[in-house]
Parts: sequence; structure tokens; C-alpha cells
Amino acid sequence: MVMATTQQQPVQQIQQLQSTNPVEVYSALRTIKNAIIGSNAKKTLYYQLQIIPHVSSLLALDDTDVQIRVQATTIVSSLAHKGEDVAQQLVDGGVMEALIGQVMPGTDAALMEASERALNALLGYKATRMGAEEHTHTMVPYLLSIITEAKESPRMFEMRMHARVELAVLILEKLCVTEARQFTVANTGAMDLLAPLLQRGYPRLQVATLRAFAALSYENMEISRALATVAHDGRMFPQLVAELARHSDADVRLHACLCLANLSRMRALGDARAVLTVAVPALAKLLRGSDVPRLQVIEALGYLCHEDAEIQMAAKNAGAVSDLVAILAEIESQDGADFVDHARNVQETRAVFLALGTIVSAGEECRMRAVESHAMAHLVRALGHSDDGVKAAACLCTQYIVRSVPICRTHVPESGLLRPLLALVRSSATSVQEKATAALINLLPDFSPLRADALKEGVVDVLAQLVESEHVTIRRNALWGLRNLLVGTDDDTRRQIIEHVGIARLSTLAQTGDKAVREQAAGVLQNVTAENEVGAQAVFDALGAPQVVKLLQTLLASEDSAVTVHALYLANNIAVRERSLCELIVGDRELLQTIVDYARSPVSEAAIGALWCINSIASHRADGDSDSSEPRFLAQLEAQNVQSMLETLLGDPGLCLGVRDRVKSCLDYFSSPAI
Amino acid sequence: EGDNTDYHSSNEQGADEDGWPAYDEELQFAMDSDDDDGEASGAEVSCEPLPTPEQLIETQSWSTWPTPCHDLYSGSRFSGTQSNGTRSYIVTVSLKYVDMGVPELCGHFTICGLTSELPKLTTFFDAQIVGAGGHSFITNQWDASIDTDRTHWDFFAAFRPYRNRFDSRDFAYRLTSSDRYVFMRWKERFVVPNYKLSRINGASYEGFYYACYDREEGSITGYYFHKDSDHYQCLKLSHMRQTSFSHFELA
Repeated sequence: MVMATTQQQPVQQIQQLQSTNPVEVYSALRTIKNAIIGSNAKKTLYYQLQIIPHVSSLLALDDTDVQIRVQATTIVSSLAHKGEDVAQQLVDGGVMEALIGQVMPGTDAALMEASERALNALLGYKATRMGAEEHTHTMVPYLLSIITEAKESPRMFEMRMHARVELAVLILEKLCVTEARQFTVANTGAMDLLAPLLQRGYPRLQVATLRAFAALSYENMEISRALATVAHDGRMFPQLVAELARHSDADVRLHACLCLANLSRMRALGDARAVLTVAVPALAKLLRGSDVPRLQVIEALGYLCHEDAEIQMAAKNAGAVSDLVAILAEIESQDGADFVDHARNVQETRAVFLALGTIVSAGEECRMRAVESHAMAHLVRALGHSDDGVKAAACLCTQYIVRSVPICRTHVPESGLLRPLLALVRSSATSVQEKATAALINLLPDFSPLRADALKEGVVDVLAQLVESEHVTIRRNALWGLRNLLVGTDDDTRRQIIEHVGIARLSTLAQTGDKAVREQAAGVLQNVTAENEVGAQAVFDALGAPQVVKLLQTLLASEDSAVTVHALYLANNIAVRERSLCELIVGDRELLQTIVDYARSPVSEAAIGALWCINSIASHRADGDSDSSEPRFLAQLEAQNVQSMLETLLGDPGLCLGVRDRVKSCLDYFSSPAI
Repeated sequence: EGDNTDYHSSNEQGADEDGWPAYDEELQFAMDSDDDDGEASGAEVSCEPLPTPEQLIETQSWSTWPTPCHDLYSGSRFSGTQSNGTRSYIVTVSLKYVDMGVPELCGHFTICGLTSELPKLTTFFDAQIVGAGGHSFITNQWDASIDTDRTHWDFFAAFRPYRNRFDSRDFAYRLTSSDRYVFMRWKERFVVPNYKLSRINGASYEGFYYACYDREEGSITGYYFHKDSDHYQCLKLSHMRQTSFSHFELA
């Protein structure tokens, strides 16, 4: 009986929204508004009672009373905080149009402010921001007018005015979710208008402004470079932001660092010192503190360090590597504990591995610091995590840490890394398998002690199966792993790979389909045929001479330089073997011509590959191995004017040194054919 | 702007001022996987959502193709001797990974007959390449003074043009792709395969080698230095020619 009574009131309130009496409608709205603000449970209740269509229709009606609009708008604002789904439903219900209409000049001030808050709340999600495309051109000038008005108003120092400007700036920030929108905002003169707000002395407004600048400049080189030239009070924007990175308010510091990170990534800072000496230490210090959400700091650090070796070193020197590993240890110690936000811990764990991965991606010193901080143990543990995002991030971090010969030889063998990694390679979500196979690639070269263990664990079989994966990245990684495995391997492993994958399959993969897969397949074929005759013979046995010639012709016709380089070395590896194998290359005039033409390639790797092939062809003697015999295929090479081509190349003063040396070696066969 | 000490920035800017070609330019690779789709970068303004920082971090856009330097490439081998004038030992060097774009060069150094306990001793070494990666002729570590540097580099005829200025503040030696000689310091780090072994009776790897690779000759000459060791232990290696080639990349 009690429950029914409690439920009735909300139902009655919803029904009352359809009353023709505006007083009753207003009363119901006000009651609902007061109930849902700050209460997720009540939001859920009224959402389930279908409040959205009611408020949407109230706002859509032209003759709805202002006071009713204010209440309805506030309800929209509150509901929007519930989550992306609800916000999207509100947008789908047409509230955005109504809200924009309510912020136009001439509207009641209270309604205007409520509408701005509602817009800010609605745009708090990626989907709704993207969906605001058609309204952007209307909203932007309006938002900028709020800032202009505040600047010119005698009330400009009032808190209320600052709060309104802050809202306007936050909405501007939220609109910049595509490159097109960034330019739309930037082209209205927003940067010059916003710059003075950085010095207003109100941290909330400064944070909002920094967020807007960060959103404008994010991954946008043109705007970042333009921003670097914006000045206020005689100081350039980077200088202003660098000062804010030393602000007493931690939120201001964090968002100033984000701005600097954006400019740094876009190479818009002429002098990197602001990043190295200000942003990096500031972020490292924030990482150790608790003034701002740690997740944001970790993500900012990872982004800042991405693809910049100098900043990665600075981060390492600021202690970020050991601090990040310490965070992992702290989170692990909370496993299974009560009153812990485990969802947040999962997010942070993932972010830590991504950030750590970027910091160690390029430099040996950073990797060593991570290893010395006992990162390996955390990595191994994370490979068995229940969350796929954590596993994938741990695999990425693993990939970059083991991208090191000394680390592979020392810390990796005893880490216990291989089995959990192989387990993920064998069977896991696609996103995890992609990263796991990428990490495995770096554990399979011949300098890695884990190669032998991986072979015992059946890695050839696993990779051969993954070559048939429906996911391109996994196929590519599987082939890449096999390619690395073939270098310096024994004949048993070579034969095992040939048998499990198949030369015919490799040939098909090298000639058709995705570019990245073709590259790796061509590389596998090159490596299969290197080091001894086992692979070359297997290629001929599997394909037959005409198909081998066709394969080489197709690969050499590729526009992808990596494929052609692999093909040239594949041709070389075949040509250097038995005379009968070499004859097949030499016997095809077109193929031989293509190879000879590559000797003149502006790509030195390709030229060198072609010259090695010519060298190998010329090395075959008429009567076995006797040095006094004539080169067997000299006539065919001379028919292609190879000697003349080589002499012309040698006369080129601009010829790359590496190519020049190979040309000289080749010419030895022509200048003294019967040494 | 970036020099070849920064592998990524040299790749972004094409050939750097030292002439080491950026691999995406020379091999016409796309560093950026977007180039696979043939899109002209910057040609159109995109209405697609901007990638998140996480998405960017998960995407690797730099080239993984290592840059060799003639006979200095991953898998290359050199053989020869190390001698102190009275005794001579057979030495083999196997380069495990070479990428001049980083720069990075490391490998295994095997010496035969140095001690009775270990008829064959292999150590892992890595190299500092002079004129790249921020390394100059001045060692400034491993107990090597400026005079030590001068004495040892002077053993190389190729060093003569620099001997009077190598320690000057105004002198900045930069290695280029057209240089005949590559000066290096080789530092042995640990024993292979037992990396935990810190001491070996009768042998030491606490010093380092001053080394010079001659592209035209295909040879490496080196002089070992340790403050407590025999002076002028000389290393002479020749490239072991290969005729077939494999290739690997680190992801």
C-alpha cells in the first residue's frame, strides 16, 4: 500500500503535465525538477515514466509560458546529466532547437541562462556533440557574443557574469569535435577573444578557457600554429599558458599542460623548453598528488609523450616512469578490497599501461627505467586481467618494452611473459589479439632467448592459423612474426613454417589484398629463401618455375617500395643458389630487365637489392666454381647493357655511397671476366 | 629543427640536415597509415570525429624499417683478431640490431681462447655512434679523459682532420650518409647467455673500444681502453661477406 502511494505521485505529476491549466503544469514541473536534481534514482524513475516526450513537447510549443519553459529547461539540464542515452533521446526529441531558440536576444534572462546550462549538459557526450552539427553555425556567434558582451559590460567583474561566460566557453569547447568545427570556431576570431580570459584571475573561467583552447588546437596543426602567434598584453599565447602551468590551482595547471601538449604535438612551439621544463614536471607532480583526477593526468602525460623521444626522456627524468609503475602497484594492492572504486581502477590501469607504453616506445633508457621499476611483473599480471582494455594496453606496453635487444636477453626470459602472451595470441577478443600478436613479433628475432621457448609452445602453428584470420591487422602481425622467426633459424623451423603456411598461400598473400599483408608476405618469402637452399628449392617445388617468375614480376611491379625491395632480395636469394634456379630468372628477359632497371632506382635500398641480384647472377661460373671460368650468364647481362649501365652509374657524382660500392663489386665481374 | 638525434623528427621532416634519408621519403613508405587510402593529407577539412588520445597512442605512425649503413646492418658479421702485440685472439662480431635512424647498434662480441675456463667468451655490446644520437668524440665516462680520447682516436688516420678541434666547444661533428668512416664506441654490457655473470677469471669487459668502420674497406678497427688494462689492445675485423639476405623489423 505504501509503495503504491509513493509511485502514484510521480505518475500523477506526469499526467498533470498534460493539464490545460498552466498553473498545474508549472507546479508539476517544479516538483519534478526539485525531485530529480541531484538524485539519479529519481531521474531514472521519471525517465521510465516517459517524461522526455512531455518536456520536449512543452518546449516545442510557441505559446508555452516563460516560467514553464524555465522549469522544463532545468529538467532537461538535469536529465542530460544522467547519461549519454538520455541526452541523445532529448536531442532526438528536438529539445536542441528549442534551447537554441531560447538563447536568442530578447529572451528572458533566467530562461537564457537555464538554456545555456542545458545546452552545456546536453553536449557533454560525444554522440550529442556530433549531432549538434546543424546548430553549430547558429550557436557559435551567440556564444562569442556572450564573451564580447561580458568584456564590454560594466558588470564584467561580477561573478554571475563570469559564470555565464564560463558556460559559453565550455559550450564552445564541446562543439570542437571535428576538424571542420574547429575551423568554424577559429575563423570567427574566437582565439583573440578568448585569450584575455586567461588572465581574468578566476580559476574556473581560466580552466574553461584553457579547455576551449585545447579543444580548438587538438590535432590541428594550422590552428595550433595560429594559436602560437596569438598575443595578449604583450605576451604570446605559449608564454601565457606556460605561466598558467605554474598556477596555484591544480586544475589550471593540468589544463595549461594539455594546451602545451597540443601545441607541442603539432610542432607549433618554436622552443620546446616550455614543454620540457614546465609541462612535463608539472604533470609528473600532479601525478603524485591528489588535487585533480589522476586519470586525466595519466592520459595527458601519455598524449604529451606520444612519438616524441625528447619529451619521453624528460618524463623519465621527472620520475614519471617509476610513478606510473607505483600506481599499478597501488591499484593491485586494492584488488578485492571493499569500498574501492574498481571501475575507476580498471580505467586507470589501462591508462597507465598506455602512458607507460608511449614513454618507453622510442628510448632504451626509458625502457630500462621501466624494467628497473619492476614493470615486467605488473605487465605479466595484467595480461591475465579480466578487462580486455587492460589486456590490450598491457600488450601494447609489452611490445614497446621488449623492443630492445638487451632487455630481451636479460629481463624478459625470467619474467614469465611468454605463456600469458601466447594465451592471448591464441584466443582473446580481436582488440587484444591485435596487440598481443604485435608484442609477440618483437620476441621472435634470433637475439631473443624466448624464441626457443615459443617454438616449443607451438608458435609456428599458432601464427600459421592466424595468417587466415579475418582481421587484417592480425594477419599482418602473424606474417610479421613468421618473418622475424625465419631470420637465423634452423632448417627444421624453416621447413615447419613452409609446411604450415604453404608457399602457394604466401605467394597469394604477397600478390593480393591488403598492402600491409602483402608487404609482410613478401618479407616472409624473402626470408624463407635466405641463408641456404632449403627455402629456394621449396619455392620452386611448390610453385613451379613459371609461377615463380610471375610472382617476381608481380612483386616487382608493385607501387609499394617495401614489396619491391623484398622481391629484389628474394630474386637475389634464388639467383645465388644453384645454377638451375638462377637460369629461370636470367632466362626471362622481361624479368631480368626489370631487375636491371631497379639498379638505377632513386630508392637506394632497391638499387642495392638489384645490384646484389646482378652480382649473384654474375657470380655463377661456366665450369662450376673455378675462378678462372667465365661468368656463365655474362652474355645475358651484356645483352641488357648491364656493364654500360653500371659504368654510367659509377660516373654519377651524386650516387649514394652504398650503391657506389655495390656497383664497383658488380663491375669487377665485367672488367675481369676471366680472372 | 630536428636533427638525426631524434629519430621521429627526422622521419617527419624528410631528409635531415645530415643527409640521412628519412625512410618514408626514400622507400616511399607511408609513415602514416592513412596514406594507404590515398588521401591527400590536409586537402580537405574533415567532418569526422577527431581521434581520442587513446586511439592515437594505440596507433603507431613511425616507420619500423631499420636504416642500415652499408655493411653495418642487422645480421652482419665481422671476423678478425684482437691483439696486444704479443698475443692474438680470434674475434667474431655479430651485429644483432642496427638502425642508424635512431641511432642504435648492438651485437655479440665473441673472443676465443682468452681464458682457459672459457675457450669462447661472448658478450653483448652496444655502440655509441659518434656524430649521431648526441654523441661526440668526447667520451666523458668510463674513466676516459680528454687525453684518453685524443690518444685513442689518434690511432685512426681518419681522425686526423678533427684532432685539433674535437674537444672544442664550437666543434660539432655530425655523421652523414656520405661519410666513408663511422666512428663508434663499443661498450660490452654482459656475458651471453649468462647475463648475471659479473666476473670472469682472467677476463674483463669493464672498458670499452674506440672503433672505426671503413666503408670502402669493409673493415672495423678498434682499440680497447680500460684504465687498468694493457694499453692498445687492437681489434681488426673484416666484414664476412653474405650473398643471401633476410630482413627483420621490430614492431
